[in-house]
Amino acid sequence: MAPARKSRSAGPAPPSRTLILDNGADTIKAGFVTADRTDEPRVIPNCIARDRHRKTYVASELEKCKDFGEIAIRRPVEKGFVVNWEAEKAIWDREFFDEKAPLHCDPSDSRLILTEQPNALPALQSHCDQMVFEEYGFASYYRGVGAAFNAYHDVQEIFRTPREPNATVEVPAEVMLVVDSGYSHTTVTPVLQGRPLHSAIRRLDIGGKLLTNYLTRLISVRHFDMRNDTYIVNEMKEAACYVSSDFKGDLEKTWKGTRGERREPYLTGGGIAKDYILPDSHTRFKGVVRDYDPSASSKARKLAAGPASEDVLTLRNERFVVPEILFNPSDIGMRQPGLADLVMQSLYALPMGLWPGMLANILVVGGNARFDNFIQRLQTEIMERVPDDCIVRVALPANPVTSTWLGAANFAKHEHAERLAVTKQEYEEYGATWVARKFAAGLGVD
Amino acid sequence: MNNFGVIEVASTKTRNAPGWAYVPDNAPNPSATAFPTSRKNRAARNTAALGLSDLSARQDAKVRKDLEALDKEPSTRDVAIPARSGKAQAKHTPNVRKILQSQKTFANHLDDYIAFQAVARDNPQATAPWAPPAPAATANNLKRSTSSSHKAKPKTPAPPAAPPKPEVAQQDIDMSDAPHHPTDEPHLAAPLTSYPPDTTLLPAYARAPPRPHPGDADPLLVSRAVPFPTDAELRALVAAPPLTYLEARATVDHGVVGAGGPYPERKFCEVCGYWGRVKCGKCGGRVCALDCLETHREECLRRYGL
Repeated sequence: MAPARKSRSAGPAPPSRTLILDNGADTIKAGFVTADRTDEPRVIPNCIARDRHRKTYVASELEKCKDFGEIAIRRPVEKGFVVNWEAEKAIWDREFFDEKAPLHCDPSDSRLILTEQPNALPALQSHCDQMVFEEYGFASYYRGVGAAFNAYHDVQEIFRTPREPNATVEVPAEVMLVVDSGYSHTTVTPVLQGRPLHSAIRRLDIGGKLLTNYLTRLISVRHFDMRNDTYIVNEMKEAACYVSSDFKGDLEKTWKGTRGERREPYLTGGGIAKDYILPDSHTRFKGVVRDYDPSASSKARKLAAGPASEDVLTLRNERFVVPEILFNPSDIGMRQPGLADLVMQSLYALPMGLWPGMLANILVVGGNARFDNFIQRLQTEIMERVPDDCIVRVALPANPVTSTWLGAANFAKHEHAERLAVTKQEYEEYGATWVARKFAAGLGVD
Repeated sequence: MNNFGVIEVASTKTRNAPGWAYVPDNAPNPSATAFPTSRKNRAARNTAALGLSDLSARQDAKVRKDLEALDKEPSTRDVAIPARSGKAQAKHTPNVRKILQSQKTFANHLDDYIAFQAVARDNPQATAPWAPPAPAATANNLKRSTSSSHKAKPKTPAPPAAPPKPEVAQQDIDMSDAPHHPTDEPHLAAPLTSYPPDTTLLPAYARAPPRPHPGDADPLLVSRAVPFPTDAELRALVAAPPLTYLEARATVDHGVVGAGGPYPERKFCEVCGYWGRVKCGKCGGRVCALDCLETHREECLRRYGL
């Protein structure tokens, strides 16, 4: 490799700044990295929204929106891949390339590191490369599987492995298994020395979107019609849902019982029921979770308090039934394995000698990992499926949403970035096919 | 499944005709099960074939429709992209213009890809419009290594320089043993000085093995670890090409251990979400008890009549 690197440095100097984009279906995680500093990533909604007053919000303008009732949202990313570049361009321009853009970036003097979901369609990948070079003209560019960037963290720190205080940190991590549960789907990616093991990547088509849609359906059947208010339902899901470690028991506690029966845990809430106060878009713009108040829900009290002082939604089994479908997709009739089985399917595609390493280093990233008790449940379920001797450790980074971004930031400073990135000249000289092949080959085996 | 009284006789004959062909369709179509939006009828037939026996056709259709609805992007009523004021529109290259104007959805792209794969299978000479990263790319590789390239080493899956080292396997048995004595960790020797320390993909465990224990030689306490994959195996694994989008989708396979498991599907009350212990005689929907059954009856009447 040494002569190769020398010939590289003889060319134009690598760009001074690196823009790292984790272009998720729900949010973009973006920020700059230079040689000596890493900015905090900004989390930008990756959407164009229109509220009921027909006002349009692009990307981070959504912060100014107060009334999320009946908001219509258009997303350029479908199933984790940028499909509609017209909308994506409007968002990127607004955030990065306009004069007044919050994260203004000069592509001709920047390197772009873009994350993508594994198993992309080649057509979409090539669209992406063409846009980056032909429309924006980045000086240097790398597109890689998002989950694999997590290997550039100090992974053992996340797992709190006991070790010597002055031990050197090896980056990328030797062996790890990344579970990425995002908006569109959930993927399991084994990573070896920063290289994703493509033949063992598995996908479960359940993500945050499906969970929100499911919660919307449950609420619309049982309480109010909220089919046009999925944004609010999503907030509700993030605030109130949790992964149950005793599904049967929790379900028992939230059952109202058969006719005429008065079940104690149901009446008192059983520690599970929560009241969610819906935003009324006049005085309250954000929903609030409150402990279940049995007295407030009685009909007489409600009438006495006057009509519609606040809209209260009592969430009972909705709180844990919704994340449950990640672990049991068959509950909604989906013929896919649950998350623990997904991990096992991925492991079965690997030589068994790698299992101990993979099982002891399972990192969960993505927005769904923020559900309470998520990693504990995953750990328990995996432990049930592997031999007793195996050590199973499942960990959650400090912020599962920006974890991939931060990993990519470490990657940008690593010499691997230099090896993998493609310059604009190379793109013009060798063409899009060559670039696609180079990215597909990744770090290779040397 | 009630197929309108038509009995389908599976045939394996393929008839060729100009422009189109009869192809025997015996196996479930992966794209149809993954994306039931397209080819609704065929998807229905396939899921019925896979379905548990107690699912009636009506329920099956309902489940499928529900899943489709759940997978949909919520509330995407046509939101127009705001026109950009001020700055005149810059000139785009033809490629970019084509991409920007494309109104294709992901399902369209996926269908294109599947169609291309089918064409490529029948006619290997056909080239894709986007030229997929196929392994057979010697011409371009050659060009890459001769001209000014930073990646001088051609990629070979298993270089002869790295034979499977027996000591790798030996050392790694120690590695899997190590966590059994977590208290020994602080006694470990000096950290690695260079990285990677040798040319193997996954370097051997270089630190000192855990402190010897008097029971180490005891045949009853000996633990056996699976052999560690050789370097060549690992290299082949790393160099494996990505699966396609549909191949990577995990499926329930009842024949394989750990792939869905032998457990029956759980049934829930359609009204309140408790266990679905009672089945509606008319539509097959599940409810938990009398209260919910009554609520369900109203719904059932409205939907299916008396």
